[in-house]
Amino acid sequence: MLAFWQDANLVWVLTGTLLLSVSAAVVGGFAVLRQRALIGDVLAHAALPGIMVAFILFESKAPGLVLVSALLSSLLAYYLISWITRVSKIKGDAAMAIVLSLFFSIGMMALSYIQTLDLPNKAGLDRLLFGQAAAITQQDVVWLSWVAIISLCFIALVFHKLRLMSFDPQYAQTLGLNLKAYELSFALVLVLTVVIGLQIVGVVLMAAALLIPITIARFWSQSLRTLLIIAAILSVMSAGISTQISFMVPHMPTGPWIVLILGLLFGLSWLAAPWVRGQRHV
Amino acid sequence: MYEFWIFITASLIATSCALVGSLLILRRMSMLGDAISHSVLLGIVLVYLLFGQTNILWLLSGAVLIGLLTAWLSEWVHQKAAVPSDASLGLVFTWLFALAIVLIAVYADNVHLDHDHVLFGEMAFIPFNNLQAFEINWGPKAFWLSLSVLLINLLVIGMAFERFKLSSFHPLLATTLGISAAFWHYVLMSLVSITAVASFDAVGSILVVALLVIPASTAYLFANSLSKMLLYAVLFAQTSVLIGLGLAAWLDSAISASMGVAAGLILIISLMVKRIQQAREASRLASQA
Repeated sequence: MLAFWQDANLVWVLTGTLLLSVSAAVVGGFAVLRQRALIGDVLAHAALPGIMVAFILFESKAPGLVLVSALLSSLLAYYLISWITRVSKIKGDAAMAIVLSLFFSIGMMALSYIQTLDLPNKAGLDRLLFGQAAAITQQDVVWLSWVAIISLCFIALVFHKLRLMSFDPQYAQTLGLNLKAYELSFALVLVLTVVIGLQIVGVVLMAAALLIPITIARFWSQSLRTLLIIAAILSVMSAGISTQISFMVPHMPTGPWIVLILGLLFGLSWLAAPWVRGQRHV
Repeated sequence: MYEFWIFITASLIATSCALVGSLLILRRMSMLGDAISHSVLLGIVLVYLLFGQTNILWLLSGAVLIGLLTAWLSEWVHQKAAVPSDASLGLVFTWLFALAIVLIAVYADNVHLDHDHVLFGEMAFIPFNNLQAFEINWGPKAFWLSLSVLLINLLVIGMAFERFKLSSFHPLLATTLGISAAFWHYVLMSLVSITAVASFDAVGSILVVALLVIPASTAYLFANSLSKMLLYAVLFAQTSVLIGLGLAAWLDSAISASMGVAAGLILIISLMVKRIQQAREASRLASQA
Protein backbone atom coordinates (compact mmCIF):
# COMPACT_ATOMS: atom_id res chain seq x y z
CA MET A 1 0.00 0.00 0.00
CA LEU A 2 2.81 2.36 0.91
CA ALA A 3 4.75 1.57 -2.22
CA PHE A 4 1.72 2.74 -4.14
CA TRP A 5 2.20 6.33 -3.07
CA GLN A 6 5.91 6.25 -3.73
CA ASP A 7 5.49 5.32 -7.36
CA ALA A 8 5.50 8.73 -9.03
CA ASN A 9 3.82 7.54 -12.20
CA LEU A 10 0.94 5.98 -10.30
CA VAL A 11 0.34 9.14 -8.35
CA TRP A 12 -0.04 10.91 -11.69
CA VAL A 13 -2.42 8.27 -12.94
CA LEU A 14 -4.45 8.53 -9.74
CA THR A 15 -4.60 12.34 -9.81
CA GLY A 16 -5.57 12.27 -13.46
CA THR A 17 -8.35 9.73 -13.12
CA LEU A 18 -9.73 11.39 -9.97
CA LEU A 19 -9.89 14.81 -11.61
CA LEU A 20 -11.41 13.39 -14.76
CA SER A 21 -14.04 11.44 -12.87
CA VAL A 22 -15.15 14.41 -10.77
CA SER A 23 -15.62 16.72 -13.72
CA ALA A 24 -17.20 13.96 -15.82
CA ALA A 25 -19.68 13.16 -13.04
CA VAL A 26 -20.73 16.78 -12.55
CA VAL A 27 -20.85 17.85 -16.20
CA GLY A 28 -22.39 14.53 -17.22
CA GLY A 29 -24.96 14.94 -14.45
CA PHE A 30 -26.40 17.95 -16.21
CA ALA A 31 -26.35 16.20 -19.59
CA VAL A 32 -28.26 13.21 -18.19
CA LEU A 33 -30.83 15.38 -16.44
CA ARG A 34 -31.43 17.12 -19.77
CA GLN A 35 -32.41 13.79 -21.38
CA ARG A 36 -29.11 13.42 -23.20
CA ALA A 37 -27.67 10.44 -21.31
CA LEU A 38 -25.76 9.05 -24.27
CA ILE A 39 -24.39 12.41 -25.44
CA GLY A 40 -20.92 11.47 -24.18
CA ASP A 41 -20.88 8.45 -26.45
CA VAL A 42 -21.94 10.54 -29.44
CA LEU A 43 -19.49 13.39 -28.83
CA ALA A 44 -16.60 11.00 -28.27
CA HIS A 45 -17.26 9.22 -31.57
CA ALA A 46 -17.78 12.55 -33.31
CA ALA A 47 -14.23 13.63 -32.50
CA LEU A 48 -12.86 11.19 -35.10
CA PRO A 49 -13.52 13.12 -38.35
CA GLY A 50 -12.01 16.29 -36.86
CA ILE A 51 -8.78 14.49 -35.99
CA MET A 52 -8.62 12.85 -39.42
CA VAL A 53 -9.34 16.01 -41.41
CA ALA A 54 -6.75 17.93 -39.37
CA PHE A 55 -4.23 15.19 -40.15
CA ILE A 56 -4.97 15.42 -43.88
CA LEU A 57 -4.62 19.21 -43.80
CA PHE A 58 -1.55 19.57 -41.57
CA GLU A 59 0.01 16.10 -41.71
CA SER A 60 0.63 16.17 -37.99
CA LYS A 61 -0.79 14.60 -34.87
CA ALA A 62 0.61 17.02 -32.31
CA PRO A 63 -1.46 16.87 -29.07
CA GLY A 64 -2.62 20.50 -29.36
CA LEU A 65 -3.82 20.05 -32.93
CA VAL A 66 -5.61 16.79 -32.10
CA LEU A 67 -7.32 18.47 -29.15
CA VAL A 68 -8.51 21.53 -31.07
CA SER A 69 -9.70 19.56 -34.10
CA ALA A 70 -11.50 17.00 -31.95
CA LEU A 71 -13.10 19.83 -30.00
CA LEU A 72 -14.39 21.60 -33.10
CA SER A 73 -15.72 18.39 -34.58
CA SER A 74 -17.56 17.36 -31.40
CA LEU A 75 -18.95 20.85 -30.94
CA LEU A 76 -20.29 20.74 -34.50
CA ALA A 77 -21.90 17.39 -33.69
CA TYR A 78 -23.53 18.87 -30.56
CA TYR A 79 -25.08 21.67 -32.56
CA LEU A 80 -26.09 19.37 -35.42
CA ILE A 81 -28.12 17.30 -32.93
CA SER A 82 -29.89 20.43 -31.70
CA TRP A 83 -30.44 21.62 -35.27
CA ILE A 84 -31.97 18.32 -36.45
CA THR A 85 -34.36 18.13 -33.51
CA ARG A 86 -35.31 21.80 -33.95
CA VAL A 87 -36.02 21.90 -37.67
CA SER A 88 -37.66 18.48 -38.07
CA LYS A 89 -39.84 16.05 -36.20
CA ILE A 90 -36.92 13.65 -35.72
CA LYS A 91 -36.58 12.92 -32.00
CA GLY A 92 -33.52 13.43 -29.83
CA ASP A 93 -32.43 9.79 -29.65
CA ALA A 94 -32.60 9.35 -33.43
CA ALA A 95 -30.73 12.62 -33.96
CA MET A 96 -27.95 11.41 -31.66
CA ALA A 97 -27.65 8.07 -33.44
CA ILE A 98 -27.69 9.82 -36.83
CA VAL A 99 -24.94 12.25 -35.86
CA LEU A 100 -22.85 9.52 -34.23
CA SER A 101 -22.93 7.19 -37.21
CA LEU A 102 -22.58 9.96 -39.79
CA PHE A 103 -19.55 11.55 -38.10
CA PHE A 104 -17.92 8.20 -37.48
CA SER A 105 -18.49 7.21 -41.11
CA ILE A 106 -16.88 10.45 -42.30
CA GLY A 107 -13.96 9.75 -39.97
CA MET A 108 -13.53 6.20 -41.22
CA MET A 109 -13.76 7.41 -44.81
CA ALA A 110 -11.02 9.96 -44.15
CA LEU A 111 -8.95 7.30 -42.37
CA SER A 112 -9.16 4.95 -45.34
CA TYR A 113 -8.14 7.87 -47.57
CA ILE A 114 -5.15 8.63 -45.29
CA GLN A 115 -4.07 5.02 -45.49
CA THR A 116 -3.67 5.34 -49.26
CA LEU A 117 -1.40 8.37 -48.79
CA ASP A 118 2.33 7.94 -48.47
CA LEU A 119 2.98 9.65 -45.15
CA PRO A 120 5.51 8.56 -42.52
CA ASN A 121 3.58 9.35 -39.33
CA LYS A 122 0.15 8.01 -40.20
CA ALA A 123 0.45 4.94 -37.96
CA GLY A 124 -1.42 5.03 -34.67
CA LEU A 125 -4.10 7.50 -35.78
CA ASP A 126 -6.85 4.94 -35.29
CA ARG A 127 -5.55 4.27 -31.78
CA LEU A 128 -6.19 7.82 -30.60
CA LEU A 129 -9.79 6.95 -29.83
CA PHE A 130 -9.19 3.99 -27.57
CA GLY A 131 -7.39 5.70 -24.72
CA GLN A 132 -4.74 4.54 -22.29
CA ALA A 133 -5.04 5.45 -18.64
CA ALA A 134 -1.77 3.76 -17.75
CA ALA A 135 0.07 6.07 -20.10
CA ILE A 136 -0.99 9.29 -18.31
CA THR A 137 1.97 11.62 -18.05
CA GLN A 138 2.62 14.65 -15.93
CA GLN A 139 1.71 16.90 -18.83
CA ASP A 140 -1.66 15.16 -19.27
CA VAL A 141 -2.41 15.71 -15.61
CA VAL A 142 -1.69 19.41 -15.96
CA TRP A 143 -4.15 19.51 -18.87
CA LEU A 144 -6.70 17.51 -16.96
CA SER A 145 -6.43 19.70 -13.89
CA TRP A 146 -7.10 22.79 -15.96
CA VAL A 147 -10.11 21.22 -17.63
CA ALA A 148 -11.46 19.95 -14.32
CA ILE A 149 -10.96 23.30 -12.58
CA ILE A 150 -12.51 25.25 -15.45
CA SER A 151 -15.54 22.96 -15.71
CA LEU A 152 -16.17 22.81 -11.98
CA CYS A 153 -15.78 26.59 -11.56
CA PHE A 154 -18.10 27.14 -14.51
CA ILE A 155 -20.75 24.83 -13.07
CA ALA A 156 -20.42 26.39 -9.61
CA LEU A 157 -20.66 29.94 -10.97
CA VAL A 158 -23.68 29.48 -13.18
CA PHE A 159 -25.30 26.66 -11.19
CA HIS A 160 -28.63 28.43 -10.72
CA LYS A 161 -28.88 29.52 -14.34
CA LEU A 162 -27.97 26.06 -15.64
CA ARG A 163 -30.54 24.52 -13.35
CA LEU A 164 -33.23 26.89 -14.53
CA MET A 165 -32.25 26.38 -18.15
CA SER A 166 -32.30 22.60 -17.80
CA PHE A 167 -35.62 22.26 -16.03
CA ASP A 168 -37.63 25.22 -17.23
CA PRO A 169 -36.17 26.81 -20.38
CA GLN A 170 -39.29 28.89 -21.06
CA TYR A 171 -39.20 30.54 -17.66
CA ALA A 172 -35.45 31.13 -18.12
CA GLN A 173 -36.22 32.93 -21.37
CA THR A 174 -38.89 35.15 -19.85
CA LEU A 175 -36.35 36.18 -17.21
CA GLY A 176 -34.21 37.49 -20.06
CA LEU A 177 -31.35 35.04 -19.66
CA ASN A 178 -29.05 34.76 -22.64
CA LEU A 179 -29.84 31.10 -23.26
CA LYS A 180 -27.64 30.82 -26.34
CA ALA A 181 -24.53 31.96 -24.49
CA TYR A 182 -25.15 29.55 -21.61
CA GLU A 183 -25.92 26.74 -24.04
CA LEU A 184 -22.67 27.38 -25.90
CA SER A 185 -20.59 27.54 -22.73
CA PHE A 186 -22.17 24.36 -21.37
CA ALA A 187 -21.53 22.63 -24.71
CA LEU A 188 -17.90 23.78 -24.60
CA VAL A 189 -17.35 22.45 -21.09
CA LEU A 190 -19.03 19.13 -21.96
CA VAL A 191 -17.08 18.70 -25.18
CA LEU A 192 -13.81 19.66 -23.49
CA THR A 193 -14.32 17.04 -20.76
CA VAL A 194 -15.23 14.37 -23.31
CA VAL A 195 -12.36 15.10 -25.67
CA ILE A 196 -9.71 15.17 -22.93
CA GLY A 197 -11.21 12.12 -21.25
CA LEU A 198 -11.51 9.99 -24.35
CA GLN A 199 -7.79 10.16 -24.97
CA ILE A 200 -7.27 8.69 -21.51
CA VAL A 201 -10.10 6.20 -20.92
CA GLY A 202 -11.45 5.68 -24.45
CA VAL A 203 -14.79 6.34 -26.12
CA VAL A 204 -17.10 3.88 -24.41
CA LEU A 205 -15.79 4.33 -20.90
CA MET A 206 -16.04 8.11 -21.28
CA ALA A 207 -19.75 7.71 -21.93
CA ALA A 208 -20.05 5.61 -18.78
CA ALA A 209 -18.13 8.08 -16.60
CA LEU A 210 -20.59 10.79 -17.63
CA LEU A 211 -23.83 8.95 -17.07
CA ILE A 212 -23.51 6.24 -14.41
CA PRO A 213 -22.64 8.36 -11.29
CA ILE A 214 -25.70 10.61 -11.64
CA THR A 215 -27.91 7.60 -12.37
CA ILE A 216 -26.80 6.03 -9.08
CA ALA A 217 -27.21 9.33 -7.22
CA ARG A 218 -30.86 9.47 -8.25
CA PHE A 219 -31.58 6.60 -5.89
CA TRP A 220 -30.47 8.75 -2.96
CA SER A 221 -31.62 12.30 -3.50
CA GLN A 222 -34.06 14.58 -5.28
CA SER A 223 -32.16 17.85 -4.95
CA LEU A 224 -29.86 18.75 -7.82
CA ARG A 225 -27.06 20.02 -5.59
CA THR A 226 -27.00 16.84 -3.49
CA LEU A 227 -27.28 14.71 -6.61
CA LEU A 228 -24.18 16.26 -8.14
CA ILE A 229 -22.21 15.96 -4.89
CA ILE A 230 -23.15 12.28 -4.47
CA ALA A 231 -22.25 11.63 -8.12
CA ALA A 232 -18.84 13.23 -7.65
CA ILE A 233 -18.16 11.21 -4.47
CA LEU A 234 -19.18 7.92 -6.11
CA SER A 235 -17.05 8.74 -9.08
CA VAL A 236 -14.00 9.48 -6.92
CA MET A 237 -14.54 6.24 -4.97
CA SER A 238 -14.62 4.10 -8.09
CA ALA A 239 -11.63 5.90 -9.62
CA GLY A 240 -9.62 5.38 -6.41
CA ILE A 241 -10.48 1.69 -6.08
CA SER A 242 -9.80 0.95 -9.73
CA THR A 243 -6.43 2.70 -9.67
CA GLN A 244 -5.59 0.57 -6.63
CA ILE A 245 -6.65 -2.59 -8.51
CA SER A 246 -4.63 -1.71 -11.58
CA PHE A 247 -1.67 -1.13 -9.28
CA MET A 248 -1.98 -4.50 -7.54
CA VAL A 249 -2.67 -6.61 -10.63
CA PRO A 250 -0.19 -6.09 -13.46
CA HIS A 251 -1.46 -5.17 -16.96
CA MET A 252 -4.88 -4.29 -15.58
CA PRO A 253 -6.52 -1.33 -17.35
CA THR A 254 -7.94 1.39 -15.06
CA GLY A 255 -10.80 2.69 -17.21
CA PRO A 256 -12.88 -0.51 -17.47
CA TRP A 257 -12.56 -1.14 -13.73
CA ILE A 258 -14.04 2.30 -13.03
CA VAL A 259 -17.09 1.27 -15.05
CA LEU A 260 -17.34 -2.17 -13.43
CA ILE A 261 -17.21 -0.66 -9.94
CA LEU A 262 -19.74 2.02 -10.85
CA GLY A 263 -22.01 -0.77 -12.12
CA LEU A 264 -21.67 -2.64 -8.82
CA LEU A 265 -22.42 0.56 -6.90
CA PHE A 266 -25.52 0.96 -9.05
CA GLY A 267 -26.66 -2.55 -8.15
CA LEU A 268 -25.99 -2.00 -4.43
CA SER A 269 -27.80 1.35 -4.39
CA TRP A 270 -30.73 -0.15 -6.24
CA LEU A 271 -31.06 -2.84 -3.59
CA ALA A 272 -30.29 -0.66 -0.59
CA ALA A 273 -32.04 2.63 -1.39
CA PRO A 274 -35.67 1.55 -0.87
CA TRP A 275 -34.71 -0.19 2.34
CA VAL A 276 -32.72 2.73 3.79
CA ARG A 277 -35.33 5.28 2.72
CA GLY A 278 -38.12 3.09 4.08
CA GLN A 279 -36.42 2.95 7.46
CA ARG A 280 -36.08 6.70 7.52
CA HIS A 281 -39.74 7.30 6.82
CA VAL A 282 -40.81 4.94 9.60
CA MET B 1 -19.03 -10.98 -59.98
CA TYR B 2 -16.84 -9.32 -57.35
CA GLU B 3 -18.79 -6.03 -57.23
CA PHE B 4 -22.03 -7.89 -57.66
CA TRP B 5 -21.61 -9.87 -54.43
CA ILE B 6 -20.70 -6.76 -52.46
CA PHE B 7 -23.68 -4.89 -53.87
CA ILE B 8 -26.20 -7.67 -53.30
CA THR B 9 -25.01 -8.37 -49.74
CA ALA B 10 -24.99 -4.68 -48.81
CA SER B 11 -28.43 -4.25 -50.27
CA LEU B 12 -29.86 -7.21 -48.32
CA ILE B 13 -28.36 -5.88 -45.09
CA ALA B 14 -29.60 -2.37 -45.85
CA THR B 15 -33.14 -3.69 -46.35
CA SER B 16 -33.11 -5.58 -43.04
CA CYS B 17 -31.70 -2.59 -41.18
CA ALA B 18 -34.17 -0.14 -42.73
CA LEU B 19 -37.15 -2.31 -41.70
CA VAL B 20 -36.02 -2.93 -38.13
CA GLY B 21 -34.63 0.60 -37.78
CA SER B 22 -37.99 2.19 -38.65
CA LEU B 23 -39.66 0.35 -35.78
CA LEU B 24 -36.72 1.22 -33.55
CA ILE B 25 -36.86 5.00 -34.07
CA LEU B 26 -40.62 5.03 -33.52
CA ARG B 27 -39.96 3.58 -30.06
CA ARG B 28 -37.18 6.09 -29.36
CA MET B 29 -34.60 3.33 -29.05
CA SER B 30 -32.25 4.50 -31.81
CA MET B 31 -29.07 4.12 -29.78
CA LEU B 32 -29.68 0.40 -29.29
CA GLY B 33 -27.72 -0.49 -32.43
CA ASP B 34 -24.70 1.41 -31.16
CA ALA B 35 -25.04 -0.16 -27.71
CA ILE B 36 -25.20 -3.70 -29.11
CA SER B 37 -22.25 -3.03 -31.39
CA HIS B 38 -20.12 -2.48 -28.29
CA SER B 39 -21.49 -5.07 -25.92
CA VAL B 40 -21.17 -7.97 -28.40
CA LEU B 41 -17.46 -7.91 -27.65
CA LEU B 42 -18.29 -9.66 -24.36
CA GLY B 43 -20.15 -12.42 -26.21
CA ILE B 44 -17.19 -13.01 -28.49
CA VAL B 45 -14.70 -13.02 -25.60
CA LEU B 46 -16.87 -15.40 -23.53
CA VAL B 47 -17.33 -17.86 -26.39
CA TYR B 48 -13.60 -17.82 -26.94
CA LEU B 49 -12.69 -18.26 -23.28
CA LEU B 50 -15.38 -20.83 -22.38
CA PHE B 51 -15.39 -22.98 -25.50
CA GLY B 52 -12.11 -22.09 -27.17
CA GLN B 53 -13.92 -21.49 -30.44
CA THR B 54 -13.01 -18.99 -33.12
CA ASN B 55 -15.45 -20.39 -35.69
CA ILE B 56 -17.64 -17.60 -37.00
CA LEU B 57 -20.91 -19.37 -36.23
CA TRP B 58 -19.92 -19.85 -32.59
CA LEU B 59 -18.83 -16.23 -32.27
CA LEU B 60 -22.05 -15.03 -33.90
CA SER B 61 -24.19 -17.08 -31.52
CA GLY B 62 -22.32 -15.67 -28.53
CA ALA B 63 -22.69 -12.17 -29.92
CA VAL B 64 -26.44 -12.57 -30.55
CA LEU B 65 -26.96 -13.85 -26.99
CA ILE B 66 -25.14 -10.85 -25.51
CA GLY B 67 -27.03 -8.56 -27.89
CA LEU B 68 -30.30 -9.97 -26.57
CA LEU B 69 -29.02 -9.66 -23.01
CA THR B 70 -28.16 -5.97 -23.62
CA ALA B 71 -31.63 -5.21 -24.94
CA TRP B 72 -33.45 -7.21 -22.29
CA LEU B 73 -31.34 -6.07 -19.35
CA SER B 74 -31.61 -2.38 -20.24
CA GLU B 75 -35.38 -2.70 -20.60
CA TRP B 76 -35.57 -4.52 -17.26
CA VAL B 77 -33.46 -1.91 -15.44
CA HIS B 78 -35.53 0.85 -17.08
CA GLN B 79 -38.79 -0.64 -15.81
CA LYS B 80 -37.78 -1.99 -12.41
CA ALA B 81 -35.38 0.72 -11.25
CA ALA B 82 -37.26 3.67 -12.80
CA VAL B 83 -34.11 4.79 -14.65
CA PRO B 84 -34.68 6.68 -17.94
CA SER B 85 -34.38 4.27 -20.85
CA ASP B 86 -31.36 5.95 -22.45
CA ALA B 87 -29.47 5.98 -19.14
CA SER B 88 -30.24 2.31 -18.48
CA LEU B 89 -29.09 1.42 -21.98
CA GLY B 90 -25.84 3.33 -21.48
CA LEU B 91 -25.30 1.73 -18.10
CA VAL B 92 -25.79 -1.81 -19.39
CA PHE B 93 -23.74 -1.66 -22.57
CA THR B 94 -20.76 0.18 -21.09
CA TRP B 95 -20.70 -2.29 -18.19
CA LEU B 96 -20.72 -5.31 -20.48
CA PHE B 97 -18.05 -3.72 -22.66
CA ALA B 98 -15.88 -2.92 -19.64
CA LEU B 99 -16.27 -6.51 -18.41
CA ALA B 100 -15.09 -7.76 -21.81
CA ILE B 101 -12.00 -5.54 -21.71
CA VAL B 102 -11.16 -6.66 -18.17
CA LEU B 103 -11.55 -10.33 -19.21
CA ILE B 104 -9.24 -9.74 -22.16
CA ALA B 105 -6.71 -8.16 -19.80
CA VAL B 106 -6.96 -11.03 -17.29
CA TYR B 107 -6.53 -13.72 -19.93
CA ALA B 108 -4.28 -11.57 -22.11
CA ASP B 109 -1.97 -14.49 -22.85
CA ASN B 110 -4.79 -16.65 -24.21
CA VAL B 111 -6.82 -14.15 -26.18
CA HIS B 112 -5.92 -13.47 -29.77
CA LEU B 113 -9.11 -11.84 -30.89
CA ASP B 114 -9.20 -9.13 -33.45
CA HIS B 115 -11.58 -6.57 -32.03
CA ASP B 116 -11.04 -4.36 -35.06
CA HIS B 117 -12.38 -7.02 -37.32
CA VAL B 118 -15.71 -7.11 -35.52
CA LEU B 119 -16.18 -3.39 -35.25
CA PHE B 120 -14.71 -2.31 -38.56
CA GLY B 121 -15.79 -5.13 -40.88
CA GLU B 122 -14.52 -4.52 -44.37
CA MET B 123 -16.91 -5.18 -47.20
CA ALA B 124 -14.17 -5.57 -49.77
CA PHE B 125 -13.43 -9.01 -48.27
CA ILE B 126 -16.98 -10.36 -48.55
CA PRO B 127 -16.47 -12.20 -51.87
CA PHE B 128 -13.35 -14.04 -50.60
CA ASN B 129 -15.10 -15.95 -47.84
CA ASN B 130 -17.24 -18.48 -49.66
CA LEU B 131 -19.60 -21.18 -48.50
CA GLN B 132 -18.41 -24.58 -49.70
CA ALA B 133 -20.81 -27.51 -49.47
CA PHE B 134 -21.24 -30.69 -51.50
CA GLU B 135 -18.17 -29.66 -53.49
CA ILE B 136 -19.99 -26.68 -54.93
CA ASN B 137 -19.10 -23.05 -54.35
CA TRP B 138 -22.33 -21.43 -53.15
CA GLY B 139 -21.06 -17.87 -53.07
CA PRO B 140 -20.09 -15.68 -50.10
CA LYS B 141 -21.16 -16.74 -46.60
CA ALA B 142 -22.11 -13.16 -45.80
CA PHE B 143 -24.64 -13.24 -48.62
CA TRP B 144 -26.41 -16.33 -47.25
CA LEU B 145 -26.33 -14.99 -43.71
CA SER B 146 -27.84 -11.63 -44.66
CA LEU B 147 -30.42 -13.33 -46.85
CA SER B 148 -31.58 -15.52 -43.95
CA VAL B 149 -31.73 -12.53 -41.61
CA LEU B 150 -33.81 -10.59 -44.13
CA LEU B 151 -36.21 -13.53 -44.51
CA ILE B 152 -36.60 -13.78 -40.70
CA ASN B 153 -37.26 -10.03 -40.49
CA LEU B 154 -39.78 -10.07 -43.34
CA LEU B 155 -41.55 -13.06 -41.87
CA VAL B 156 -41.86 -11.65 -38.34
CA ILE B 157 -42.71 -8.06 -39.35
CA GLY B 158 -45.09 -9.31 -42.07
CA MET B 159 -46.94 -11.59 -39.68
CA ALA B 160 -47.12 -9.16 -36.79
CA PHE B 161 -47.40 -5.89 -38.71
CA GLU B 162 -50.65 -4.75 -37.07
CA ARG B 163 -49.37 -5.62 -33.63
CA PHE B 164 -46.12 -3.72 -34.13
CA LYS B 165 -48.08 -0.76 -35.44
CA LEU B 166 -50.50 -0.66 -32.53
CA SER B 167 -47.89 -1.24 -29.84
CA SER B 168 -45.59 1.42 -31.37
CA PHE B 169 -48.15 4.20 -31.71
CA HIS B 170 -50.63 3.38 -29.02
CA PRO B 171 -49.24 1.03 -26.36
CA LEU B 172 -52.15 1.67 -24.00
CA LEU B 173 -54.79 0.76 -26.58
CA ALA B 174 -52.74 -2.29 -27.51
CA THR B 175 -52.74 -3.42 -23.89
CA THR B 176 -56.48 -2.87 -23.60
CA LEU B 177 -57.04 -5.00 -26.68
CA GLY B 178 -55.05 -7.79 -25.07
CA ILE B 179 -51.86 -7.34 -27.10
CA SER B 180 -48.86 -7.51 -24.84
CA ALA B 181 -46.82 -4.39 -25.67
CA ALA B 182 -43.93 -5.76 -23.63
CA PHE B 183 -43.87 -9.04 -25.56
CA TRP B 184 -43.70 -7.30 -28.96
CA HIS B 185 -41.11 -4.94 -27.61
CA TYR B 186 -38.88 -7.88 -26.71
CA VAL B 187 -39.55 -9.47 -30.11
CA LEU B 188 -38.37 -6.29 -31.79
CA MET B 189 -35.30 -6.11 -29.55
CA SER B 190 -34.47 -9.68 -30.59
CA LEU B 191 -34.82 -8.82 -34.28
CA VAL B 192 -32.50 -5.85 -33.79
CA SER B 193 -29.85 -8.02 -32.10
CA ILE B 194 -29.93 -10.68 -34.77
CA THR B 195 -29.84 -8.14 -37.59
CA ALA B 196 -27.10 -6.05 -36.02
CA VAL B 197 -24.81 -8.96 -35.13
CA ALA B 198 -25.25 -10.72 -38.48
CA SER B 199 -24.41 -7.46 -40.24
CA PHE B 200 -21.38 -6.46 -38.13
CA ASP B 201 -19.34 -9.26 -39.56
CA ALA B 202 -20.02 -8.20 -43.12
CA VAL B 203 -20.16 -4.43 -42.99
CA GLY B 204 -18.83 -3.32 -39.59
CA SER B 205 -20.68 -1.73 -36.72
CA ILE B 206 -20.63 1.88 -37.92
CA LEU B 207 -22.54 1.11 -41.07
CA VAL B 208 -25.05 -0.98 -39.12
CA VAL B 209 -25.80 1.95 -36.83
CA ALA B 210 -25.99 4.29 -39.83
CA LEU B 211 -28.26 1.97 -41.82
CA LEU B 212 -30.52 1.33 -38.83
CA VAL B 213 -31.30 4.97 -38.10
CA ILE B 214 -30.49 7.23 -41.05
CA PRO B 215 -32.73 5.87 -43.87
CA ALA B 216 -35.53 5.26 -41.37
CA SER B 217 -35.28 8.85 -40.10
CA THR B 218 -35.30 10.20 -43.66
CA ALA B 219 -38.42 8.12 -44.32
CA TYR B 220 -39.95 9.42 -41.08
CA LEU B 221 -39.75 12.96 -42.51
CA PHE B 222 -41.92 12.11 -45.52
CA ALA B 223 -44.14 9.18 -44.57
CA ASN B 224 -47.60 9.47 -43.07
CA SER B 225 -48.22 5.81 -42.31
CA LEU B 226 -46.13 2.94 -41.01
CA SER B 227 -46.27 0.93 -44.25
CA LYS B 228 -45.14 3.98 -46.27
CA MET B 229 -42.38 4.64 -43.77
CA LEU B 230 -41.07 1.06 -44.13
CA LEU B 231 -41.23 1.35 -47.94
CA TYR B 232 -39.46 4.73 -48.09
CA ALA B 233 -36.84 3.56 -45.59
CA VAL B 234 -35.98 0.58 -47.81
CA LEU B 235 -35.79 2.83 -50.87
CA PHE B 236 -33.54 5.38 -49.13
CA ALA B 237 -31.35 2.54 -47.86
CA GLN B 238 -30.92 1.12 -51.38
CA THR B 239 -30.08 4.58 -52.73
CA SER B 240 -27.46 5.00 -49.99
CA VAL B 241 -25.90 1.66 -50.93
CA LEU B 242 -25.66 2.64 -54.60
CA ILE B 243 -24.31 6.15 -53.96
CA GLY B 244 -21.92 4.72 -51.35
CA LEU B 245 -20.50 2.23 -53.83
CA GLY B 246 -20.03 5.08 -56.30
CA LEU B 247 -18.30 7.26 -53.69
CA ALA B 248 -16.02 4.40 -52.65
CA ALA B 249 -15.02 3.70 -56.25
CA TRP B 250 -14.44 7.38 -56.93
CA LEU B 251 -12.41 8.25 -53.82
CA ASP B 252 -10.92 4.79 -53.25
CA SER B 253 -12.26 4.88 -49.67
CA ALA B 254 -13.73 2.23 -47.38
CA ILE B 255 -17.02 0.96 -48.83
CA SER B 256 -19.08 0.75 -45.63
CA ALA B 257 -18.00 4.19 -44.39
CA SER B 258 -18.88 5.67 -47.80
CA MET B 259 -22.37 4.14 -47.60
CA GLY B 260 -22.84 5.69 -44.15
CA VAL B 261 -21.78 9.09 -45.50
CA ALA B 262 -24.13 8.67 -48.49
CA ALA B 263 -27.05 7.91 -46.17
CA GLY B 264 -26.20 11.01 -44.14
CA LEU B 265 -26.04 13.18 -47.27
CA ILE B 266 -29.49 11.98 -48.35
CA LEU B 267 -30.89 12.83 -44.92
CA ILE B 268 -29.35 16.31 -44.89
CA ILE B 269 -30.65 17.03 -48.42
CA SER B 270 -34.10 15.81 -47.34
CA LEU B 271 -34.01 18.08 -44.30
CA MET B 272 -33.16 21.03 -46.55
CA VAL B 273 -35.96 20.14 -48.99
CA LYS B 274 -38.39 19.93 -46.09
CA ARG B 275 -37.23 23.31 -44.80
CA ILE B 276 -37.71 24.96 -48.19
CA GLN B 277 -41.16 23.39 -48.53
CA GLN B 278 -42.14 24.69 -45.10
CA ALA B 279 -40.84 28.17 -45.88
CA ARG B 280 -42.82 28.22 -49.15
CA GLU B 281 -45.92 27.04 -47.39
CA ALA B 282 -45.51 29.72 -44.72
CA SER B 283 -45.04 32.51 -47.28
CA ARG B 284 -48.04 31.26 -49.28
CA LEU B 285 -50.19 31.35 -46.17
CA ALA B 286 -48.84 34.78 -45.28
CA SER B 287 -49.67 36.18 -48.71
CA GLN B 288 -53.20 34.75 -48.50
CA ALA B 289 -53.73 36.38 -45.16
